[in-house]
Amino acid sequence: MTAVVTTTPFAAAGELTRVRRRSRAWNANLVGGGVLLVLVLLTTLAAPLFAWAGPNQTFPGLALLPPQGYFPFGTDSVGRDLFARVLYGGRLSLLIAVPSVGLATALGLLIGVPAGYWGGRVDQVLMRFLDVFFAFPAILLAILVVSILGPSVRNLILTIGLIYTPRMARIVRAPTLTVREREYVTAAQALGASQGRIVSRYLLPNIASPIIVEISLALGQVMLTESALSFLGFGPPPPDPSWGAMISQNRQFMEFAPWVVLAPCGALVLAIAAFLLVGQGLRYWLDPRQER
Amino acid sequence: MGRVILRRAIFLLPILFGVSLLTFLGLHAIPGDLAVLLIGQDGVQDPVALANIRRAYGLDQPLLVQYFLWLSKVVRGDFGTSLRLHVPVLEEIMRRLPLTLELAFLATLFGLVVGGTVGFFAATRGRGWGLGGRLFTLGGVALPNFVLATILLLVGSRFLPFIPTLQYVGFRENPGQHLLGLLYPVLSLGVGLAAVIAENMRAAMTEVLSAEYVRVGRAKGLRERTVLLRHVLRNALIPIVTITGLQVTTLLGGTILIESIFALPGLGRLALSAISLRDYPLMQGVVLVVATLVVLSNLLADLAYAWFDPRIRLG
Repeated sequence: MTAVVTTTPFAAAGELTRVRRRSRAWNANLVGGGVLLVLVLLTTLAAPLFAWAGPNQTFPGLALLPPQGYFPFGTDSVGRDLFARVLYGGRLSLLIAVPSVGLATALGLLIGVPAGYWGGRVDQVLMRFLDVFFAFPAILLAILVVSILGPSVRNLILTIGLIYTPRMARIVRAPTLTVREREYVTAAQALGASQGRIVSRYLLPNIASPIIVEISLALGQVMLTESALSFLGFGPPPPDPSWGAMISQNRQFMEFAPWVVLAPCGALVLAIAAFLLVGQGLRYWLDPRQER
Repeated sequence: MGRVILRRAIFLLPILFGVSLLTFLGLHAIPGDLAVLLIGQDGVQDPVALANIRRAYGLDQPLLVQYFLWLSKVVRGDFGTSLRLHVPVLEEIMRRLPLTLELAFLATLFGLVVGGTVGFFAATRGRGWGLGGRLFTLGGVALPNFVLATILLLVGSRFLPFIPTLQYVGFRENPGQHLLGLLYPVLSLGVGLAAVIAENMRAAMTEVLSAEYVRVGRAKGLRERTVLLRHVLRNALIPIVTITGLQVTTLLGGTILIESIFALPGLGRLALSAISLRDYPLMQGVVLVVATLVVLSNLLADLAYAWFDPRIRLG
């Protein structure tokens, strides 16, 4: 017994140093993704600073120009600057992605925390209810809801937010289940802390890490869903630039003017990769014990 | 095993019930009068005909009664008649289903073989494979299937003109051309799946490699090949079964995009056109069948999981 007691602290200390060393080590995902993300956010959110033309401004007689000085990404079939359209399209995509992930996170917390914290029948009912939603592919649900509500930026935010809620609720519920069994929660309960205080002071700070990671990953996923929707014609109504719509509408010209699809494709892939890398980087940074 | 399958299948009934309720209610939330949609623009002026339509389709009943009437028909295989195609919904779905299943099966096969191989070598070979595996995962996950499809079409039309695109050839007409025509669609769907499988395979392999029995196997002098194939791979494949089962949802969603891009007459394209044309009975039928496929494939993954790992006992 004593042997165990004396050896454990050393082992734990060794483990801790190793973990610390690893957390300080070069986090390529976070750094690379962060740089990429800053680039994406800066160029899209400050689009007017970088693009001299407007996204819907047409230049008659200058259709399908290859990339060159004034038009870094070339022009499309009606003579619009693709560089401007890609940047403004990214802005619109973020304008949809950020509020819809916010909505999904808020609703996910409202469902996941009670389900995990109180458990029992509440948990059973809520989780069975969510199981039903997981039977539908996200894109199919999205098309259905958008076709019911009608395509507009507001409806897209609502639709995508609702579709990501079940996933967020599961992400919230899992760590809630383990944290509620911790000694500090029992101690707070024994001291007579109110449920609201336990949830806000002890529960939420300790389940924050996986939720933050999921928010970053979800932002990438939501941009993908939004672009898939607009690719199929269920996105923001034209002429607003949207990456998915640009890809599908420009496809007929791509054989002799490949830049008309390559520019929005590249932007979309970079944006998704940025959120993905930052999400993975954050996962290791917030919890260095995670296997790389 | 038979009893286990039966028990799990019964377990699915509440989920399928919820799925049917959601499908029914969701589609009834679409604004507009269904009777007007059914009768077409010409009949709207005729109130008697409109009332007849309402009675014939049970639209004058309360919503809950309508639901159970619909459900009782559905369980007997009567999904109604398509408003635009004027054929029984189930018949049209069954005509389209084989192609989508073929597409999903080939994409899963591709994902397992390519993703499994990349993940295996990423875990067992040196840094080069490790880095390559991570780049493959990142690229595969960040590349949306419709972007990959577009790029394949662009590159393929220029460098590989013999691969048929955008014109579907049935298997019975010409099996070779049929499979060649499915190459790009399968790649578009399979690369993302392969990336997910590669990452999970690498993680699972890494974990199993640190297990005691692997050390024991090496200590008693087994060849590295035997250790890797007999002990590590077999155990690492267990979580992969679950991951693959869960990916079926994404895969079926992907067929909506991919089948429209490559003009393939499958279920995904049918879903899209039913929704765009507001073909209400067809929409309900397709959505219900897709959700049932997802639920069934999850059941299959569960059962395969138990079969692969005798330690798991399904209750």
